[in-house]
Amino acid sequence: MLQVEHLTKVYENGTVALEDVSFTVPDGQFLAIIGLSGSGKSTLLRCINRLIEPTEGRILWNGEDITAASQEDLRRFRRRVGMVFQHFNLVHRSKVLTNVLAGRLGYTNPAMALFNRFSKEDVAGALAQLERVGLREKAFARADELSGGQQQRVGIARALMQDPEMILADEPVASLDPVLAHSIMRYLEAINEEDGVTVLCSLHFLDLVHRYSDRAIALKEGKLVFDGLPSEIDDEKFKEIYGQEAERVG
Amino acid sequence: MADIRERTETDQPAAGHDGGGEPSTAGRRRRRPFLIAVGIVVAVVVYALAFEHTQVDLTQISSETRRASLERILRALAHPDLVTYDTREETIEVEIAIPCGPEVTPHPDLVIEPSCGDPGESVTITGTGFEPREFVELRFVPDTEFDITLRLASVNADSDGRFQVDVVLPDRPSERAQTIRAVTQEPIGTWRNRVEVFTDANENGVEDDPILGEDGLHIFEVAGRVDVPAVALINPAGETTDFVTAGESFEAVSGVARGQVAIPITEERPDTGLRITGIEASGGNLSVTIEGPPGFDMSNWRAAAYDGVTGEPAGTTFISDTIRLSPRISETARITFDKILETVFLALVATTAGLLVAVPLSFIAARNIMRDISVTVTNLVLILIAVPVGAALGVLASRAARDLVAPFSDDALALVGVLVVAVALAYGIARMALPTVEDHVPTRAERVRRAVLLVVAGALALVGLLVLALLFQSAGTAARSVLGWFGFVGSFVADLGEIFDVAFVLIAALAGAGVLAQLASKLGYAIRRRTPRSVVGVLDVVMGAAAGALWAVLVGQVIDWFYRIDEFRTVVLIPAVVGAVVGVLVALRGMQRGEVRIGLSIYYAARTVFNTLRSIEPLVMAIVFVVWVGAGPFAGSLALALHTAAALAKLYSEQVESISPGPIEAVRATGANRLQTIIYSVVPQIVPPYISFTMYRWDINVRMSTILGFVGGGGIGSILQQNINLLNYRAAAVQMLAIAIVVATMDWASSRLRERYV
Repeated sequence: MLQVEHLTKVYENGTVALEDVSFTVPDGQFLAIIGLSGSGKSTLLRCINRLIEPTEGRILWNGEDITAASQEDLRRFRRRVGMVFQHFNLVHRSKVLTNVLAGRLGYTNPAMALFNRFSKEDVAGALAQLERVGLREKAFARADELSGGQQQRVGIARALMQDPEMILADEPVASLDPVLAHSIMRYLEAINEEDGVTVLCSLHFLDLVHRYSDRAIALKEGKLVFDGLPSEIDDEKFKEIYGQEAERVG
Repeated sequence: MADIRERTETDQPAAGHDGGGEPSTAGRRRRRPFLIAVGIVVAVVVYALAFEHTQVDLTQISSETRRASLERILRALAHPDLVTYDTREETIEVEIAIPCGPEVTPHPDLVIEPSCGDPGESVTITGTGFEPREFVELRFVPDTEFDITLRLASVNADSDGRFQVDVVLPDRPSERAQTIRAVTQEPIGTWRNRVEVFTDANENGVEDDPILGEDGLHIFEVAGRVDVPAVALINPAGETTDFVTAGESFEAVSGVARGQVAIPITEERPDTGLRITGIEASGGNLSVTIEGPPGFDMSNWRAAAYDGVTGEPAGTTFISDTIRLSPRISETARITFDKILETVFLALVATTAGLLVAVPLSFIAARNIMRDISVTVTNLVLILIAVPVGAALGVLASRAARDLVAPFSDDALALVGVLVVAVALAYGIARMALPTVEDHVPTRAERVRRAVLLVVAGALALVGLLVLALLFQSAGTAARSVLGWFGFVGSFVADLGEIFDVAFVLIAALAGAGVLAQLASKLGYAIRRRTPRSVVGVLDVVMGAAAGALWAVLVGQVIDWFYRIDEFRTVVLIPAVVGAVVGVLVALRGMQRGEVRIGLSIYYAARTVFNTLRSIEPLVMAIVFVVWVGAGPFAGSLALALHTAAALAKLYSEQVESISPGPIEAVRATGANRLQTIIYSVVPQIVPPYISFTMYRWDINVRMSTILGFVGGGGIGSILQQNINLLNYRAAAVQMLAIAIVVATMDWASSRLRERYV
């Protein structure tokens, strides 16, 4: 279970990205995070695995305080939390396989990195994950030779390599066309349903929220303005979240 | 343009400062012509000053004499001294009477008009049938018994092989007919048909074959009869390759100077196979027997005789005559080739050395890597104390290790044994200490065991490095004498050994500092976790004072070394107090903020050092290094390497700063630590720009090394400068040509390689 308590993030330039955000995610839930660009969705996701240090508040994972964790504890927490990014964030010049194996770094000894070595099991595992996302034959291609949708599948395989209990997906389909978006979302859905992995996913399109998520929370200017079922987002709620001038497109 | 401006101003009157905006822009518009005028005046004055100071003088450009010198230089440059022809003198003589009287026979190709005259009178000499544009010297051969000639004129024939010149008859009246001689120099041979030219180098009037015969024996005479003779063989490069002294009972002792002879023998003598085997007195000379491999070319070899007791030189002679081909590649071209090779290798060594230093340093000069590194005050002060102490311990340990290994240093077998054992143990222990997969949280006992094992493995690896250094040194030295022509590979291995030796101490110091710093930071975490805040605060301040004092005293020692103050109060006491105060202040300030962003401090320090080093031209650095290690390419490569390291570190670090942050974020999110993050997300992104910048730098270094020789830094610059100073522009032209070719080739090659790999 993930508990976010009174989370606040103020950037060095004074921007308040998150203000007193609290919510709880039970294990196995598919949680959609919605809100305008700049409403703090990315900051929230990055605060959870402390890619961004929160200014105030606590984040508890199965009762353990992540915000107070030492570097070593943080490493152990992060390796169980996969992350998927809007721009895929693959290392372009590396092989697809290496990119997927990077998901294993939290488990491997740092000294092995000097020799660029992974165990046989890890390599086999990486190939299996690539198989799962249908990219087994691309394992030895360079990451930048792949299309956007394929790159995001590699990103998912990398997250799966971590053997995750939770996946943080930061607008995983915002850079993809609608058809691809659904295919990527279906992978996340499968991971959520088959493996019981908790998924926190920020999304732009409400129809994706309706279709894939169990629950939605909405951020507006860093504040939590909605927490409930996707079906509860009616026109009034929508205008509250996205502003008066907004129109629904999907 | 003005239109648009008007509109924007009237469109948004409210956006500006209603009342204030209008007049201020209007005022600016009114002042504008004035400002422009002032700008023009200032520019004129500045450029006038610049002209004054750069001594711009256009009359020099158009002056006749200057133009003539320029033409001479440009023509010389257009005729680089690449090929040497031996020449044959050809003469045509014609009789002349001074004054008129004696009968003279005319010559059809050299006509004097009139054919006689008084001294001081002018006659016209017309030559025909010469080579087109041939250089002809006209000489007067007076009627004396001495072999002298007087130069009358020199002239170039026209394209038909004709010339006409007026000369003044010299004041050498005679009753007999005298002679005017036209001398031309005929080049011997052509490239298609090269000719062997014989030179009686040893001046014995006999044609000796410089190629050793079947028996490999050659006997020749050296001038200079001394009681106890000593003879040295000197190769064409001027190095003494063999030296023999004949004592009371003659004994050939190759290469060993006996008695009190003090003759410089080149320390590393090229082994040519030519040896002195006998010295005998023969009349007023010494008859020397030498032996060498059949077919050996003794051209340009010399022998020098000395007094075997006092070392006084008695005479030098060529061993044999020389036979050369004409035309042939000139000596200048040969030297230039050697030197340009030296230049390219100098640049290579400098680039490689700079690269090795710059790659690790580039990371600490990259803002995006260093930005997030911060430590607590407790850790900072503990680490600050631990680093110098650890480094000192490391140096001490390295000395101890050296003493330990010293007894085996001559026993190659033992060294190999120690090396194998040390490396195998280090590897095994490291594997034991570092599990490939971290599947559980290690207990404290496990952590301690791992740390101890790692330190042991590290120490063993260091011992391995030391043994390797010793092995390389002895093996290299041994190989040098065995390998013959490839002896330089042996020297290289020996040099590598020496580099390892130096690196060993450095690495030991770094390792000591690293281990202790790691311990200190663990200690720091423990202290912060277990002790109440107030106690931590007091500890921070006290240790901050200690750390500040320690570092200030270290800096004081450096200052003392530079200025030789040598006064306890100034170099120890005062710095200690000042440092302690600064330390306390830093600790207090750090406590307010919680953490100290040490990464940024290191980043700024590294940047400052790189920028300072980079701003000093390698030419200036070379001057310092020439003083330190002596003139030559080594000094040049050191200077260039230092500059390259700073420049590359800066260029590299900018590349690190400009990489895409996404992959870094993604890899960090997987739980990777800093090292893993750098290797898996930073390194793949920076490899192409690193290659590109290294090539670019190597290109710059080749260009730079061509002029390092101007200050004694080796490379082609030294002979270029010599030739310019000697006004030997044809030789200088060869060197300039070589530089142009090499730089252009490098430029082309590096751009091609960059295209391919980036």
